[in-house]
Amino acid sequence: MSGLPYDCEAVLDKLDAYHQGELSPEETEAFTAHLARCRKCLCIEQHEQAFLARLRAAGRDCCPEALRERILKLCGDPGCRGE
Amino acid sequence: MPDTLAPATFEDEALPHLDTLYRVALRLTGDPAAAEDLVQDTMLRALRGWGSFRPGSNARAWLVTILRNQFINGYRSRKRAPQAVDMEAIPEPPDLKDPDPEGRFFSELVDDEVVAAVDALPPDFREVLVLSDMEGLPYADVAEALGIPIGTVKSRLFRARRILQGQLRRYAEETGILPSGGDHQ
Repeated sequence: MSGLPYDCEAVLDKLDAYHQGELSPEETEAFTAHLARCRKCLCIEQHEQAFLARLRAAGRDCCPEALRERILKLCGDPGCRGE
Repeated sequence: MPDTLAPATFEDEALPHLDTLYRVALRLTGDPAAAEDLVQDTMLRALRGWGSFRPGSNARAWLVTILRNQFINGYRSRKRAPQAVDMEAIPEPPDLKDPDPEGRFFSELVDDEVVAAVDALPPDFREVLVLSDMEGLPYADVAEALGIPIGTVKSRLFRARRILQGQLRRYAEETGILPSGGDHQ
């Protein structure tokens, strides 16, 4: 694998792929090995992780029950079906 | 493929995504009543167009595409005015000199603050962030739903995250979670 080990620039470039789980095992190892040595990149990674976790937990509203029931009614109405 | 497979019903394919559709509609319209109308119209249109759905393809992306088209055609002008955002002022990534460079403050913000900051993003940025980072759609599905290349999804997402991070840091400073001003002076 070329480009290993990673420097700061490579780690920032791969940050999103790391969080998306798109790195190969070798790339993941190079990524985490750099974080273990570089406080600045470790901070950026932790900052991104904390941000994404907070975002995933926000605004988890569910479809209101009355709306769900109206939609079920539509599904049961042959006049609404295009087939 | 075995030919004994029963065709998927609309109910099986579409109903599991109602929560996602409602949340996306809420973030697009900013208004619960408008979000309900939008989801209902989307499902009606999807029911009518169910014959054009390719079995085995991605029902969630298909439904989000319909929802977004409905939104653009009828709902966009109802509530929201376009947000004025200085697109050149993309905040820098965190610096070691910042207070709380690891972003521990994010977990101390309340939901309403996070959602208000998301809602304040310009629409093009808000929709990629909502679909990708809040609803967890893969980039390929976001690209399909919005009809844009994956590269555009990634670049919009990058800017959307930075703008939002800057806004949330400002909230944290205003509410005293972080010391205000500090290194940003």
